[in-house]
Amino acid sequence: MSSLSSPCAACKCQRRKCTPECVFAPYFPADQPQKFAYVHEVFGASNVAKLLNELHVSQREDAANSLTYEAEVRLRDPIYGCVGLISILQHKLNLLQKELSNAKKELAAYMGPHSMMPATVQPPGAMFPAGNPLSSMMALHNTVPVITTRGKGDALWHGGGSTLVDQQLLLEEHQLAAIAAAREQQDMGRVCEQQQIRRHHDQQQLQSQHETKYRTNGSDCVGEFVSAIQYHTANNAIPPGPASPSLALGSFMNPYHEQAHRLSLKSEQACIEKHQEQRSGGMEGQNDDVGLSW
Amino acid sequence: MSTISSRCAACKYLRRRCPPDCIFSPYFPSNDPQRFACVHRIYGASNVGKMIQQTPTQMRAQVADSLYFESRCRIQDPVYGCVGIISLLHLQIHNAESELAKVKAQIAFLNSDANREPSFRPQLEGASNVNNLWSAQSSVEQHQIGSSTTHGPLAFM
Repeated sequence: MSSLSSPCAACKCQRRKCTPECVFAPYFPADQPQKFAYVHEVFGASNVAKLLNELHVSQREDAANSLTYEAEVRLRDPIYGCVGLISILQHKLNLLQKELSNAKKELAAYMGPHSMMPATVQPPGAMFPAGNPLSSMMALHNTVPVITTRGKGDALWHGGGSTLVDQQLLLEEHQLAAIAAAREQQDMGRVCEQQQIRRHHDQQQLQSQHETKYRTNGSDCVGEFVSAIQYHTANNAIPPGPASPSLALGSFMNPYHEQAHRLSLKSEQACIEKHQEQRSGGMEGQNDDVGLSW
Repeated sequence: MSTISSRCAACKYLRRRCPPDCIFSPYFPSNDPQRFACVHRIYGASNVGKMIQQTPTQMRAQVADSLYFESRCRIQDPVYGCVGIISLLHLQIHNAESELAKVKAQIAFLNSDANREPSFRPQLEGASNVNNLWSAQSSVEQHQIGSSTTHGPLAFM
């Protein structure tokens, strides 16, 4: 059978018998002699065979194609090979990143303080010097370039069915509600703790199942209380001004605080009334009422 | 005196005498044996020597460095090597271009809106309707993302 079937490009090049187990045959067919010629010239047949044999069969085709590509680029550019191409692409990406950053700044000028956020990851082009690309390549090699250019501001643009101004108001409302909910959480936690202590003294005759359920809910309340405190503290700690890159809230925090305070007073009252009702009616998993409108 | 001078990393690796005109010694010093080990594993000594030999002397260091970089990439990623990095950069460039086009469209829209003159209004059907513009952009972006992610790392070749 092997004498009838035509030898693969690799075996033809090396002038040897192409066996059925030939590692090159599936990836270097006889009708593409140039493909093997490239890899043979750059890597050598034995190195290619060794590389392919180390891989799983499912990966070998991609490996053969990538080796062919690398060899081709190396023959086209004997000095830099793929490294030259990488440096060109990095440079292009760097330019695009700068242009994108300038465009976002220009957009921010239209939008005011409610602008889109800048890129959150430093572009790899920052490592790329104007001269020799190889000096940046070694640093690049240890950190694969990753760019994330999507920011919180993108959420402003992808809302369906509302104008930009409406979306900004929505965002403000959400944030106000979040602050109010955080205050509510604190009060809930305090009430939970007090009720826990009371019940611990009074509930010797209640069923153990109900008690366990309540304690679970209580500990959840405490957990949420802690996280609410942290959230609230973090929010209050943000200074007004557009300095922080993590929040594009910037200068509208001052009137925001006043509204939050008014809302929190209202929610405090509502919370107290709610708990009074629940105390009289019996307690069942309060956490359902607590929702952060994130 | 020749016994006092140390062999280069290549000759040490190949266990041979290091001649004074050794092609490898300027680019594979003895204090970095890993460097030659990497290139030898992927390219082989004779291919490396051939490539360095065919290059003008002033560019040989760059050849050695680029071969080292590519061989390291191939060792770390035996399937794609540095082609994986190229593919990733292509994707990131594509994403950056898409985002730039989107931001520029938004600026153009706001610019035309700010001017509020009929001659400046874009001649598009429903151009004053923000929703159409955003949904069109979103669908274009999704189409572009979809077409780029349906292919593997070698799709750009």
